[in-house]
Amino acid sequence: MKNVEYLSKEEMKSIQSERLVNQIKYVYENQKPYRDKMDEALIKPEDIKSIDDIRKLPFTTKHDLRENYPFGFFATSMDNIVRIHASSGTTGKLTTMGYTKRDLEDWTDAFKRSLSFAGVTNKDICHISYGYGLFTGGLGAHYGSEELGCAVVPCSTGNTQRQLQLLKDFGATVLLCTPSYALVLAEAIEKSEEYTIDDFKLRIGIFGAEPWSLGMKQQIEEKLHIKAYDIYGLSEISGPGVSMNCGGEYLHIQEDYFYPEIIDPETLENLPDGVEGELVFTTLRKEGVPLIRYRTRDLCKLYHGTCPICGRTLVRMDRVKARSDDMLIIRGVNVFPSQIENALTKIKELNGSHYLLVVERQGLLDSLEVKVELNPSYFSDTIKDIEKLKKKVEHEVTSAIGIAPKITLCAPGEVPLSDGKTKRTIDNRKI
Amino acid sequence: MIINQLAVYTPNTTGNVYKVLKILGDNSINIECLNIADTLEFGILRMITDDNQKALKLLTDNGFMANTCDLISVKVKNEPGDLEKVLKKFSDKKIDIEYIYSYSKDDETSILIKTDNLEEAKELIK
Repeated sequence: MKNVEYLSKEEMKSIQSERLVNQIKYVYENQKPYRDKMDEALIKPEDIKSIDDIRKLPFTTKHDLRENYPFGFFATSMDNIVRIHASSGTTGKLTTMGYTKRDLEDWTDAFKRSLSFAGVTNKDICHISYGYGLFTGGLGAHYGSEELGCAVVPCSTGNTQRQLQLLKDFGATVLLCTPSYALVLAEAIEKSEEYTIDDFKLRIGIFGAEPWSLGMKQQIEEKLHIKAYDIYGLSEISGPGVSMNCGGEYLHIQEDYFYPEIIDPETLENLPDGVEGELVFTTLRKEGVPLIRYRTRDLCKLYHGTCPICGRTLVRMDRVKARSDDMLIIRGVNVFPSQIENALTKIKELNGSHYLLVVERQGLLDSLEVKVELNPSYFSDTIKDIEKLKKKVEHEVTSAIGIAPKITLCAPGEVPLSDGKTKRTIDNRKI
Repeated sequence: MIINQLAVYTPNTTGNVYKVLKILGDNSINIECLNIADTLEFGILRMITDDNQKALKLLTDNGFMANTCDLISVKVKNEPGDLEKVLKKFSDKKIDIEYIYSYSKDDETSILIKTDNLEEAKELIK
């Protein structure tokens, strides 16, 4: 069979159509909450004959999953379920995912394929610092890397000094963790009296689970002497490996497993390639918790056609800069933390990745405070220099977001990064 | 003459200046002179110690942000008008003063000056 990464449009469509038809039949028979939605919309499984008919189907939302906690969306008996994951619940109640043996095999295959986009082979030693547990990051990376034949070092999070020791002693060539933790490790090496970056053999980094700016990516690549790749996924769809960067600007989606669409989040209409909207995924082969037209709340664009960088025809998406949930509305203006991060990471006198946004309401007006760490290498003994820097930061951030925040320059260590996903916003306004 | 100064960033939380002094004191470093430039949110504590490099390392290892830099040091007599003469030279040559303070040791007083042009200032006071 021809390599699924390089199929023609028709060949891929044929696979997707066959899979969607089967998935819809299966969901209608086994997943009551979605059958109810289909019934309400007067759609029957027979109405779905090809992948193009997907637009007839109703959407599934996070709210639907939460309403059916814990197992209302499971489409098979617990006897067939071999793994349960729960999402990290950054925006509310936990949602649970159940996987059958085949679901795990598909997910593992998607992650393994993702690794090959970055040029990882069975000769590599993979150091995994994603958290192992209910979070899909650690185990997803683990099984995918193992399946490829890499030597896996299952570190999980925490104990940075020991992680450095293992990275050096075991000579890991690939690092898998959140972008925040990659910076934590990089900064620990810089501060260390024991190690310099030349003690390590890392060449590739595979980072995901939180949004990160190109500025932060550049910092990570410079400090760790690696090429960094974005990996994307969400536990509702499986986990990491739903899509992966090939080294260029975009991520390729494993669309034979997970079919993507972009919709206008207000009108719910499908949007064409190159137009930003909400990413929607449909699982094409899942048995445990299949999801049809699941609204991810992640914002990006899609691009079909042959990739100019790697030649693959798997549909491409932008790096997800923001989830619509991350968006803050301050004095009527839409603000994304990633816009601010982009501005901060360009200023060399700052440790721009170390920032925190604090939103308050004082009386009738919203206020935004941006706390960001100073870069000790640029610390000046004159107040004038620090004041100038503050004005520069104010100017850059205001240009980026359109409103003027209060800038608080902090000493190193005052705004730490997390081992996992770093919380970027504290919103103290009472709704 | 050139003298080396240590500067430390101290955010405006109670006890920060004390912490700095305790670290230096515990390590037998003697502070010969100190002052703090203050703003609403932070201060810059400037010091002359008997071992600036050791002090710099200790403070950095303890999580403080610090640096050292060179200042112009000019001896003055204890009478009106002595400093004026020096400052006139700087002003005539358009050398700006960032900050200035005095420093006494063993019955001699020097005025320490941070300028925006150390090399030219050095030439002037020769």
